[in-house]
Amino acid sequence: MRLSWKLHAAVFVVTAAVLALQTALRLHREEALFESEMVRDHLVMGRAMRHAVEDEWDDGGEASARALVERLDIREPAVRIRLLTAELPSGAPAWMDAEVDAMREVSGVVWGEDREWRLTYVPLLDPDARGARIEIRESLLAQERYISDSARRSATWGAVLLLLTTVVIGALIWWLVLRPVKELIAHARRIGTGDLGSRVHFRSRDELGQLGLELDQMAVSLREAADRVSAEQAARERAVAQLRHADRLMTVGTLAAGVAHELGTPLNVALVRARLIERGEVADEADIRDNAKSIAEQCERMAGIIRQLLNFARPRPIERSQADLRSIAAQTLKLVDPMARKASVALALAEGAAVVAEVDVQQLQQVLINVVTNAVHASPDGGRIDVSVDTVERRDERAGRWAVLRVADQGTGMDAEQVGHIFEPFYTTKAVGVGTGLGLSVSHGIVRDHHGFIEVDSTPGEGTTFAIHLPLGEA
Amino acid sequence: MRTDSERGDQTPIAVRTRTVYLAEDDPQLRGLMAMALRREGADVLTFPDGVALANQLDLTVMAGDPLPDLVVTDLLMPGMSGLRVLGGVRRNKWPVPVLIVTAFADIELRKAAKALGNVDVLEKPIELEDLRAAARAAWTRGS
Repeated sequence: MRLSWKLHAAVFVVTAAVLALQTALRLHREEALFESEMVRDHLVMGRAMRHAVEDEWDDGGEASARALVERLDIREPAVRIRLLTAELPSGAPAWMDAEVDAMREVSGVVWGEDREWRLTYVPLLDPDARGARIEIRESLLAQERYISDSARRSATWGAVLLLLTTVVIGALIWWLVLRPVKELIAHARRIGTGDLGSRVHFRSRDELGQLGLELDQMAVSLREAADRVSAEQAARERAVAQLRHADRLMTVGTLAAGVAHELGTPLNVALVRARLIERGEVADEADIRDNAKSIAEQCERMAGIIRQLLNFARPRPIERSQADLRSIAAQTLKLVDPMARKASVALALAEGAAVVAEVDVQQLQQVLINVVTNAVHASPDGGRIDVSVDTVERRDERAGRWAVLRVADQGTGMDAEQVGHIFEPFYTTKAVGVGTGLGLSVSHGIVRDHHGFIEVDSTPGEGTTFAIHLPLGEA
Repeated sequence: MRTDSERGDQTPIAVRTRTVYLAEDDPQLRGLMAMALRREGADVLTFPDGVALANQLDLTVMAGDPLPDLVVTDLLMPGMSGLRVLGGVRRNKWPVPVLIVTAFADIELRKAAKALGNVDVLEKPIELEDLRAAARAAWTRGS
């Protein structure tokens, strides 16, 4: 984790810098302290000696003063005291000489014999001892050694402290920041893959805890949105199902009129024969039996007609199966025949082999009835509607093997603009009350659900052909 | 029919047998209706559809034979619709009374029937008595 490295590095660098700065300041202060102490020592010593030396000079002159100083020299290797006069070269830098000449005490650091020395000059104030000065020279070696030892010790302890701090702060960072962050990352990833149910595992009162809560909230919102979407989807599907059901009921209504008419004839035959028997106009037992048999047959015929319609009308769950489209077409045309005959339009199904495809039979019947009904309405008196069932192999953008149900009428036809609209829901060119305009849009939806398509070929004034394409499996 | 001996010197009045053309596609019903009309003393020619009926009418006219006294027809038959036959009948100004027997007798049909003139509409299922009574009424109107 790059953040972890960044934080560790930052802690390390900052702690190191702080420790280094602190040590440096301390050493510098110690050094300054050493210096001021040494200077004070020198001056105190020097001044103390000056009085004695001046007195001695007064009494015994320069030589005896020098001898006194020699005696007072502590003889420590680090500290040397001597009396210098103008004649002896002092070895001091020029600027110190200048100060002494001006009768001022002076202290400074010089380099000699591979080490540094502090040189302090206390000039004798006695006018007789003009130019004479007490020189106190102290090696700074010890001081230097102390400083370097101190520095080294500081460095060692500093390193230890640095390591400790880095480790401790690192552990704190890991506990407070990195661990929760890793978990938040994992949680965000889970939400991203669609797992909207899990919740963050840690609860803390800080900003990271806040982030966790926000992520949880986000997951909840996403789930609500997803639920809304699927609810809308379900509602839409229900609406489509309702529209299809409404269309089927409309179709049933249309068919029912034809069926009612169909029933008229067998009903009539049965009624007439029953009356004959009732009135005793058939006396012969054999004749009565014949009439009764005929009545029964007519009743069965009526039952068959009603059953056909009920089969179509009954709502069934969608059930796809391999079915012969040609026989479905034949059955459907029988249902629509009465309505067609009422409009004086003839229906014809072309002969041919069976064509088997995977369809929901009831839905396909609905599509056919819709398309044929449209054709009937568009056809003139005495017109003819040709229905055919074939297979076709296409190589264009809709390549593959298709089953094609064609419904061709010789009716009014449509122009290109109308053709563009016909599959829209509620689009109708008919008068109010004649049809809902739903039929073709429902049919279009059903065919699309079957992974098929409908092609419309129409010439105004000549007629229209609807070609319902349904996919066939592999040969 | 009155006999010569009863008539005296009056010219015999011939009650000509009525002719009926009946078009109905269901064979059983066709047979029953024909039977009922024959009970009224009519000669009944039956046809299974409108085309056959129309052809017969054309033939009758071309041959110069007398038109039928009554045409009874269903409407929904394969081929030519009953109404078209009627339209043809009236266009040719054939004064033939017509009985339409149909399961679907709605307002529009009755209006069209009225417009064609001398056309009666009977709704299926039809009782044979009603058919016979309507036929008699049409004959009375006609003569």
